[in-house]
Amino acid sequence: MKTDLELALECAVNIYHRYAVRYPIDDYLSRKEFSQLLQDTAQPFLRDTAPPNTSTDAYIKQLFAKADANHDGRLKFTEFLTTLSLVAIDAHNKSHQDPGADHGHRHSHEHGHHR
Amino acid sequence: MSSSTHSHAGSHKLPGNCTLEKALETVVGVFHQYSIRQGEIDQLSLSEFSTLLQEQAPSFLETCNRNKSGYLENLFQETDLNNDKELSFEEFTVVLSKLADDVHRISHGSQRCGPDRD
Repeated sequence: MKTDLELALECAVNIYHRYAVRYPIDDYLSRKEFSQLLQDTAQPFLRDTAPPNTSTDAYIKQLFAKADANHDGRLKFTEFLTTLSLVAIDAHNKSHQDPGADHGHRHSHEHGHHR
Repeated sequence: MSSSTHSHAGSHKLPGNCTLEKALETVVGVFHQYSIRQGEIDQLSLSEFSTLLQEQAPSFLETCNRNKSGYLENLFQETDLNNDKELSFEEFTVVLSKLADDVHRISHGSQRCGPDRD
């Protein structure tokens, strides 16, 4: 019986493989595969964290360069994990945001979440 | 495409069509499930951290001698970069990466212990 955490990580691994296996067939993400992966499965992250006045493409380029620690032009899984951590941190930050901000009406929540 | 004919109790969240956003929302939810218990509600004490791994990552802990005494304490200390005896979510992502790396190795039938290959 797999735990929620294990299932979530398997999901991330499956997504990685779904894109890595595209041309060429290998266990690495080319920049194109990396870009497709993020645009298909992490749009909110891209929207939330892109620096001001930076296009999506330029931002993805920055992310790729940051992740490609050995500068071989492709990401192995452990290099991809640095980007995964950024998406996780963004998801965590969002979990503490005021849910009333985007809606037309306000709810009052008594969650007791503090910054 | 395979369709699952059984459901995992309490894990209705991630069918074959998972997204990175959804997966990481789940991870955040798990983190909060444990961080809220003691002290700082958005940080993991050693005890919350240990319980989280024991309950949520048993397969990781069962291999590579990670169930030996002191392993969790050492891992906690290594991860607690600012030494405040609590793990923020950012600090926790280092451990998350180790867990994800383990899941990836399993998916390839690779050796689970030992350093990262190229």
